[in-house]
Amino acid sequence: MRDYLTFLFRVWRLSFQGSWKFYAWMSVLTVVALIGLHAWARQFVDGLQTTGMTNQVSWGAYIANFTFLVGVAAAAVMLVIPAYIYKKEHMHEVVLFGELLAIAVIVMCLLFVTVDLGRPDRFHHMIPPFGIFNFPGSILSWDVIVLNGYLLLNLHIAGYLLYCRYRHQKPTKKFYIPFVFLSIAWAVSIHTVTAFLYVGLAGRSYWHHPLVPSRFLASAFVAGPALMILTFQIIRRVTNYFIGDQPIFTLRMIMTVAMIINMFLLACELFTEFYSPTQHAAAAHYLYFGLHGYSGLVPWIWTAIVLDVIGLTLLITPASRRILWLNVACITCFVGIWIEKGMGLIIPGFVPSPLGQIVEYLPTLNETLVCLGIWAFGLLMFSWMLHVAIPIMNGSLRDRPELAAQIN
Amino acid sequence: MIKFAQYSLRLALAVAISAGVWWLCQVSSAGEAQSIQITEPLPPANLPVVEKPPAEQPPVGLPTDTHLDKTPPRATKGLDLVKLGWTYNCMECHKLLKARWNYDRPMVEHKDIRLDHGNNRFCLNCHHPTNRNAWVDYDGAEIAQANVVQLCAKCHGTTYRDWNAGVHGRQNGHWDEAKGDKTKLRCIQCHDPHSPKFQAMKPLPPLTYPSRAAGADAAHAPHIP
Amino acid sequence: MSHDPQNEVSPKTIEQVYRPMTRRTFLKGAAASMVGVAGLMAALKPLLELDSGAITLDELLQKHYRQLTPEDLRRIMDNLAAKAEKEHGVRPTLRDLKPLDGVEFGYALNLTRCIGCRKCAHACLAENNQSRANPDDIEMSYIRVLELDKGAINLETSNVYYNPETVPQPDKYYMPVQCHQCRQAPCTKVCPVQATWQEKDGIVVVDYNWCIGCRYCMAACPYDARRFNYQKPTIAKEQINPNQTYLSNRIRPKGVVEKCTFCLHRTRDGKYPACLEVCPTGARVFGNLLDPDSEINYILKNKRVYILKEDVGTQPRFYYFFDK
Repeated sequence: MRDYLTFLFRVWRLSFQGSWKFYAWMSVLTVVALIGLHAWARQFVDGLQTTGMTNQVSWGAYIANFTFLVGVAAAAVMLVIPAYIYKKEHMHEVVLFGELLAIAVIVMCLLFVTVDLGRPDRFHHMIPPFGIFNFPGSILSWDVIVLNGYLLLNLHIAGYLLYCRYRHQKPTKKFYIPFVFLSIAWAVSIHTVTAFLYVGLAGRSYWHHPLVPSRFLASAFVAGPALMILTFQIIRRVTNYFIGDQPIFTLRMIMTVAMIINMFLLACELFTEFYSPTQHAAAAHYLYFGLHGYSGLVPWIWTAIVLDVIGLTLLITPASRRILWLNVACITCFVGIWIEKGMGLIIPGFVPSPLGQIVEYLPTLNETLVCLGIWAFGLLMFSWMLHVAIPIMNGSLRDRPELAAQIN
Repeated sequence: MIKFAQYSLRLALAVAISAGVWWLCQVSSAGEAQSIQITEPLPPANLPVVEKPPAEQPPVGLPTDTHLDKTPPRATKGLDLVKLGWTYNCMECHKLLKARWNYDRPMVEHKDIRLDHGNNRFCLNCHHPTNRNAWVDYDGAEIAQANVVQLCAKCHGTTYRDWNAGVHGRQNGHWDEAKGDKTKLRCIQCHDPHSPKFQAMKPLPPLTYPSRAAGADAAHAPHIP
Repeated sequence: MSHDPQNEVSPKTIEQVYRPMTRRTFLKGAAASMVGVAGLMAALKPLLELDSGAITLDELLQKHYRQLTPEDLRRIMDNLAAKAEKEHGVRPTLRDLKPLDGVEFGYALNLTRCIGCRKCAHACLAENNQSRANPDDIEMSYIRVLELDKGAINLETSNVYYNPETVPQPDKYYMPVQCHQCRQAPCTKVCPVQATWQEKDGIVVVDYNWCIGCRYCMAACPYDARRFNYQKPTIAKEQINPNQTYLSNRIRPKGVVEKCTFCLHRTRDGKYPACLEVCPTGARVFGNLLDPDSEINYILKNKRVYILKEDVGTQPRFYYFFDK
């Protein structure tokens, strides 16, 4: 116990040690996060009128970001599966980063849901025994369970492995392997349940579509690894933790396959929507071509499609065997999917409204600041976790200083 | 100013007519006064819904529905005459002025009446030929003025059936008659019998475009497909 | 690859971690913490503008409507009435009306008769104390009147902003849409905290003191029947209807969802809903579905009934019918 407290104290001390670059980066993120917090405080006082949402478009940027990020969190499983099921040694070096990313991103998801609430002061109504939890009726209550469960699973796995590394013990398998396998199924479930949030609503034909969960997973398994590839290179650049090319290229393969599936499913969706001119295709018409003179989302979605196609082209050609082009592919895929799942999936569900009314949506400045703040906070958490984890991973932070590896 | 002049003119006219009618009645009352049957003081056809008796007012402390506009839709006509004490005793004039069965428009008075009631082209299809205070039934019997619904039902059987069932025309008050009154509007409170097609009206202001929505300023009258 | 002189966490850094905290580092840390706290306070500054009564401990601890004892509910309603009087200058008669035995409400609307005059939408506002930005603002009305082209029932080409000189226009017909009080209500199913539910008489209600404002029910509703209080409701004193119940038209708090309740503060008193009372064409018919002799059952038995979005499987208690 005493040892564990020492561990926590050292982690805490380490959190505030670093180069000036580290300080600068963390300060910038803190400032942006605080600006976001300020914007949220304004929203809390004035109500959601500070956002661009309306009675017709009742969900906006918050839920869009939430949906996208659940996918990124779920994608950590793409590091876990090769490492633990296919026993790829090289993935064991990096699997922990995937879990840390999942933790940071799930926290972002929870924040995005919280800022979307009209009455965050009544959050406890969801938590028995103070509240009533509408389980299993409401998919949102499922989502609360799976997201928090996933957060706990990853906190346990990552925390346990890091502490063992710190103590230089071999992790006891029964303490983490069952959780690792559970987390694989759980990761799939978080994104599937999130998709069911939308798919379950029969009144919104744009969402009421069995392809949505599959597309969610496929696109998540592009966006998540894309972020990981970029992170690995940053780790390689600014720390002495060794990450070879192998994990990166394993992830590239995963991205390529997932992107092919994603684009195939997109094509299926487009065919279904546009081949037969049903009324249910009105939302897709609005999204891709505009409807009755309203075309607010058209630039967004075509940007996304162009980015996706560039990403796919780079991924399936040998070009992306070069790190530079791989990075370009990662960025285009990440941004493309962010748009596609955010503005491209959530907003058209509301436009036109079930009664055919067209009210367009654009996030306001205040809303955007809240979003930026949460992104900054997520990056802050992730940076901090990496900052603390890497010295433990490479053995330079140990329970007994004399045993610490003298790297560098 | 013009309005005032119009009003004074109408007033003068009404007074003159009333005086004339009074004189005519005086002159002719000696002869056939007994043949006019007026069963009850007849209400004007387009009175508002009768006020509820005090016992059925809502519980103490609760307001009445003053915030809801429940006036019957048909615009009230002839109000000036009512104000002047017009008694709706039509026989005051029609004792003298008899109409032929095939008249389809008034010859002397009521010249503003245009009969636009489909095949129902003649005055005496509805008005009783000898008692102008009553309506006429198929067999020439009188239908009391208050029972105007019975008159309309002569032709509009299915509508009458629906009205009776409470699904044609507006009802007000209580759906649960154990708790209070239910009032029905009668045919002529919504339809002008001489031109029964329901009158078009100015709609109340439309839904406002949500001010927070993107492009709300530019698109204040949006989406006319 | 691994040799990078700019290594972010240097051995020297690590060494510091092992050492006991010096006075200097402690002071440095304390100063940094002060800056952090100051930043946090600055960020949260808008919270100072919260009204004193915006969040009360009482409200935070309040239970769900269905768990309240009658005394608790009475006390809460007294508080709400006092708050309304303080904020709006009108003390409402706030009641709690329970569903009547043997009553299930149904509503029918005659598409042949409706002329699209919007009297119902405005009466709804006069009755239900919705928030409005200005006196003419009917955005929050529970009724949306759609203008449709004759020859189809195509909602995608409907128009809610029509404003011609007179209605009805010869080539159009009109369809008011409000809450359908569905038997299989998607909105109550999705609510994560059961803040909205269906009562015994079929009316779907919201506990405004329990709703967390996630707006999932709005996404679930196929009839666009729910409204959200994006701001603290604004309503002029003279526009307030003081006949209120806890579950229907009391003045709402900020950040919660509201909806049509078939005017339960009227209908559970045996009266007709406000939208019916003002309809000039008598297109609206309301009654008890469990009473075989009611007007609503007459329509279901004798008229041709159309159910909006029947394919969604919501099984509404709101019917459209035709006369000719």
